[in-house]
Amino acid sequence: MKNDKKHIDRLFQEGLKNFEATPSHSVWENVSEQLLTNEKQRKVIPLWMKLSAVAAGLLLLFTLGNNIFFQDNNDIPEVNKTIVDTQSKSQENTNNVNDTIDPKNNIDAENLAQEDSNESETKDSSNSLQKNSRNTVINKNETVVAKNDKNTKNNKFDSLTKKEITDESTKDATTNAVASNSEKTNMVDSQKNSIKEDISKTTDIKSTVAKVENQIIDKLKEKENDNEAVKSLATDAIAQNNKTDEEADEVGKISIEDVIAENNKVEDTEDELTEEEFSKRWSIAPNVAPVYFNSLGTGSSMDDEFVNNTKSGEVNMSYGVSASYAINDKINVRVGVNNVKLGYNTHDVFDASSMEMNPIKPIAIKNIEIDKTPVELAYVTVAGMSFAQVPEPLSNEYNASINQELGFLEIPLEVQYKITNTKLGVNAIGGFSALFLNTNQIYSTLDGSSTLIGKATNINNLSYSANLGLGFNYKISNNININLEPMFKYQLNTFKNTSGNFKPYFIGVYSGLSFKF
Amino acid sequence: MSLEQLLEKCRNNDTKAQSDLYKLYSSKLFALCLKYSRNHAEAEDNLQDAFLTIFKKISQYSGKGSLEGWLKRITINTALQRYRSQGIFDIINEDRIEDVHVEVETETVDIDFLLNSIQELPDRYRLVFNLYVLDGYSHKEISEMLEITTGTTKSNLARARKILKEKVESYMANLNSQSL
Repeated sequence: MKNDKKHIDRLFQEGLKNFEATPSHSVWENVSEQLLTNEKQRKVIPLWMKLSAVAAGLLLLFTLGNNIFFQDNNDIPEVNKTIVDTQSKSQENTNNVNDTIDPKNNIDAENLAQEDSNESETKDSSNSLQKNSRNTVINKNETVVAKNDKNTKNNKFDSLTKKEITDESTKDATTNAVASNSEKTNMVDSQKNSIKEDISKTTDIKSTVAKVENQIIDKLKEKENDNEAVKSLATDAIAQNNKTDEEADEVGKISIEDVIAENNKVEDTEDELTEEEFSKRWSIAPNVAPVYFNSLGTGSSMDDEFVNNTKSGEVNMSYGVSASYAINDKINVRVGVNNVKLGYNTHDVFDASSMEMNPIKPIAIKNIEIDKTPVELAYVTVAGMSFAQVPEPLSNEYNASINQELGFLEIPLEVQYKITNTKLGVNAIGGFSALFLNTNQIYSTLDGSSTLIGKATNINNLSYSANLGLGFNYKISNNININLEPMFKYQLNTFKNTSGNFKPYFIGVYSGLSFKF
Repeated sequence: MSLEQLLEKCRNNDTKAQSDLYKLYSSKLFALCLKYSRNHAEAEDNLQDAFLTIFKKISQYSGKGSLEGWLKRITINTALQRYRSQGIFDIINEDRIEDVHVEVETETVDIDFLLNSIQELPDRYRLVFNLYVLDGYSHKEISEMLEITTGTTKSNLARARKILKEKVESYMANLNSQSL
């Protein structure tokens, strides 16, 4: 039974090498259960967070409204500029690889050049090195490059400009690095390779420059005794070359970071462009809707007198425009402005004002401010009366109605959640509206003719509604959708001092087109 | 479906994909949990916690390195976290021992015996033995994970080996007496 001696570690390592064990089914049940509850929590919270974010945004919009609108004109071109910049950068980057090869060839060719042209050779090689490193570092900053080209021609390196270059490139590197998306590691990997190539190219160039330098030194040494002027020039050139070399080191380091960062940035932009949905996050949608206004409970906004009267809502129009922004492929937030008219009739009203002898004591309506002060107006309900009880002379007058016309400037703020994402999309919509009162009239209607009698005193100038609805959209083209959105809007504090159980709401079926841009 | 697609779906909280990922790796990770735990029930608790963490952090998995390695790290960390919260790393009063020469005369041993021997080790010895011997962590890494000195991890490892050696020897003796 006894075998070789074995280290205790090896015994366990080998024994447990391919050890696997099946856990009981309850483990997965528990895991999936918890995942589901987590997900529910996760879904609920962000919606409210987003809603409150939207609310905060609206507040900002209102308070800084004017400023923002004026600044908008300036902001837009800036955005365009940066897009153009990154695009051109990406092009330059690709060109760059070619560029980096070219100067190397130049240097090689120049190696073979005559010794008499040592000075110019040095200049050229430093030029090309300079160009090269700059190409990798600040290819985007053409003005600086141009400046430096001039400097190199003058065979003088303006140390200030150099500082500028390094400063700028470092700045760029940091901002770019911040902008870069760490998740795109795959991209970074491939970029790293290309950067490695770049580095190797740079080192190649450096070594070639060093060679050139050595050659120059050798040749200059030969010439040293003959020509002192040449000597001084040459030492200058060498010093310069050393400088260039050091600088190339420095710049090279930065250029690597920069190139990584810049490539990341370019990749990011490209990513954004490839995700077609997200390249066009904004859309604008004019809409028009028939709206129907009514109350959920029986009650009256005007007076206790009319609580039990039959009432009917009117169908009016709402029209406006909304702008929406896609936060991700599921969720849109939108803000708009609509002009909405609402109408509401209280029937079975007896116009008692024309009667001198009122059989029933006229009651002033508590929530109406009467316009026609000279004429006393009085309305009473006849809802509870049978025809028999109505005195004959009054029967003509009893079927009057009071018609309330309201108009609001509505600022809806809504979140749209995409349920399906096919050609026919279905959305759930939730949010709220701010309602600014702009029309407030009350008419008395009798036999088809209506008279303006005044306005309601119990309507808040600013009120809110909670909105809930479904949105259907049909994609006509990539940029244009047809929308149909039945919405229910429950008014929260439009009226004060209402009587009975008056819970106003309005329903609208909003239709329109939306344009992405 | 490729692993990449599976991961992508897991990131989007696709229940089916999560179940598939669980099926793929649960037996390997459960084996890991068994080694790091005192018993079967505790191992199942660990596995459950580990998978919850995995699904929570799946979007952080960058694709660098093997998925299995990443999953194992999370599982081990989950197990360590459990003991950390129980304060078992705080033992300070113990004599250090030098590494002892541990060789045993053996043939293939039953896997259940090996597992039980590990599970019966005092908590920290078990963790150090697992981390060092079975999962290839260095003393330095272990000392950081367990927040103890490398001297302590080395001593713990030596003690674990010593205990295991005794267990194996008595097991072998038992086996031999049975076969006689």
